Amino acid sequence: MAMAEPAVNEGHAAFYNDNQAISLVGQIVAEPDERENGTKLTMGNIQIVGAYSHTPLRGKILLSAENYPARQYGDWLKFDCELQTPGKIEEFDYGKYLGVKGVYSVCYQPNDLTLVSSDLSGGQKFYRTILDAKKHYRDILNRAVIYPHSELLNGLTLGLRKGIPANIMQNFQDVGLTHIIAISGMNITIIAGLMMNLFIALGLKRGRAFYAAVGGLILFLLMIGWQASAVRAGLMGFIILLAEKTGRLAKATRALLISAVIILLINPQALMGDVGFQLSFLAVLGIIYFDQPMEKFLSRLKIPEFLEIRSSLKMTLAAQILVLPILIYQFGNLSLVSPLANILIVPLLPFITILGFIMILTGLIFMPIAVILGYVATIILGWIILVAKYFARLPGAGIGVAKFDFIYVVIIYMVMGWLVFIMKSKILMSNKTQSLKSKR
Amino acid sequence: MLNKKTLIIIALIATALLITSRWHFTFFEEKNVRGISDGQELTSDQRLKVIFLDVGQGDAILIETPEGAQIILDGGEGQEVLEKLGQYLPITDRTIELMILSHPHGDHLDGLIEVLKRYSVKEVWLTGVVHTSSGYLEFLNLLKDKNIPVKNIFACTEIKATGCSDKITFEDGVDFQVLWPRENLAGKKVDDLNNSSLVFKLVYGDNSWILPGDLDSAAESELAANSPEQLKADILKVAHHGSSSATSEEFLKLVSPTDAIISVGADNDYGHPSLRIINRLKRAGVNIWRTDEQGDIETIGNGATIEVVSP
Repeated sequence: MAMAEPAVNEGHAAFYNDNQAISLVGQIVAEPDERENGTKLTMGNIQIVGAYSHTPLRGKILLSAENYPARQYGDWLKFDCELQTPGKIEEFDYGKYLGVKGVYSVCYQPNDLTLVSSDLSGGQKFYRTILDAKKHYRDILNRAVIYPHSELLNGLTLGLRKGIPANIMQNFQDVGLTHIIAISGMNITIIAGLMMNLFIALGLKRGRAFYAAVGGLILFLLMIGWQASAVRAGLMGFIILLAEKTGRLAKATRALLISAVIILLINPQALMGDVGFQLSFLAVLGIIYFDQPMEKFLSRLKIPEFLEIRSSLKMTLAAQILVLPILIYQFGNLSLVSPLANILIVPLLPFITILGFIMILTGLIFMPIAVILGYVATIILGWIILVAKYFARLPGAGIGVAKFDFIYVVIIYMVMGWLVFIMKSKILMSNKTQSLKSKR
Repeated sequence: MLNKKTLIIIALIATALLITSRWHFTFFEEKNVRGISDGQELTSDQRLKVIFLDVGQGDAILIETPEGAQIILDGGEGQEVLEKLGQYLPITDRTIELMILSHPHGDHLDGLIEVLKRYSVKEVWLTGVVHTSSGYLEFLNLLKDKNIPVKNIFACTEIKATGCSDKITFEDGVDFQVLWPRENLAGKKVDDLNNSSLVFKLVYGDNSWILPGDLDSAAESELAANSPEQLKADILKVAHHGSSSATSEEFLKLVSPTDAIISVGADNDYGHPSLRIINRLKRAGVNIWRTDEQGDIETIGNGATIEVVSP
């Protein structure tokens, strides 16, 4: 679907680009993008300030402001600015990137940026409440966990990834771990399942644990901003919960397929374009298919069952298997260390994310407990940062092997599908022979 | 629900985590002692550590007192100071006992804003000089919001103005001698913020440090005229990142340090440190330490000798 180019006339903000300064009033219509050296504000509902009246303009403006005073979503600001047309930055087509978001003008140096009012519509009030809560949660995490570990935790639990220092991001990129802070669909799926296990471990009945976990899942999706891709992944997580509630994991395939079809009917682009959807679908499929083999494997390793540890580990590991090929394909850098780094880190993510939630909840009530939990979080986060750092230094890390063709992904999945089929029929056979034996 | 065995295992894990929490940060980072200014080994366990943090262009100094308190003097410009605090403070310690702002320029102030947000700061010292940058206003707002006690500091002169201080004892044996500014700047506008810098001589037993912020030579000579003998110190933090506008011959002679620390960012836009100042220090036979080349520089005093270490 190509974005229709807007008609740029007197009624559009872009009409005034690359010309003299004009006086404008506008509202911050997206979450302010706070970075170390400034904040980017997406201004909408623009009005041009005239001598007698204000004239509304179409089109949004991306405005660069100082970090302080902190601006809030929904604030109405007045400013004078020479608007500019966003161009290309080296290879990157910045203008096109912003155009998708409805932004056709940028303002790098606003003058007299002043707050006019904070009038919000009903829907805006709701979103503002979420954002305010998110900020408050971030402050709790920042007070409980040292920097830069805190920034990683913010990325994992709240979807706030802007604060992560560039060197850590680079390490993640070199070893193929960028997906972990993109609130990956896989993570959401596993988190849903783990929440249920957590509630069961805390002594809740299966039925109640299900409702508690669904509530937790919805809360999490709200907290990270109810993005479409996260909601799709959340739906996949819901299927895991449903299957766990009824205790018939193997029967969940049909529910999974039906919801996947519904999602794709609503938005067909999700199939190829939404990595979160791909990851969450495959994670759920993995949890379903590898439930029994993993159970056998883990019981042989004598992993204890208490506190639902075995079940949680089983789910976490099973989810990884089918996800790995697409993960490497999508997040590139086919470095030799990438699979190993992922295996060392990814299973920890659901735990650390849930720990983050618990810290927020306890921090709201009594901060010292959050701080104590923060020590544990710091150690796990420290491990993640450390693994990324040392793997990035290994030879073979970060070697930008050209992205391999999608056809290989198809082939890999066909082979995997075939293996799963064989495995399934073997399990089926052994189950049958067992039942036959028992009949005799 | 939870049985005994489970509880024991949880308790064991928690203990192990708490024990490792202190250790795991330093375990993987190897540290070399590159030079010791004074050949003697430190004997007493009571030490005052003054760490000049490598935070790029700017000043950030962490002081660890013998009783385990932390003092942060200036915070550099960016988030680097947070990373450093994470390294030097045990993860169980989320408290900074004292924060000092020498003057409200961004390369001394901005890092402190985030420190205020993330740590519990018990007290703040500053001059109270007027400045209207958005960062400084945010800083002052945070102090108000968090109800942090703030002291306006200035040195006593012959007039003995109310509220002035000669010496502030932070804890037993750790003294801040206040040298500058010589008038109460609270609510006052000044032409040159650099010359409004809080200047201290930090004294611990026989050890002493001169910490002059961004003071330049005009103010230096006034200092030299008023308290010449008080300026003598073991360690000098070179004023204004080694700018040629500071550290005059006369001032350097009065301080006559063994070691000088230049807190400066690599390839900064100001050409700091000035080659002239480097040569001046060399001629005076002072050991020069630079945060842009050597990273963090730790000066550790035991009341008798000072050891200078850079990792």
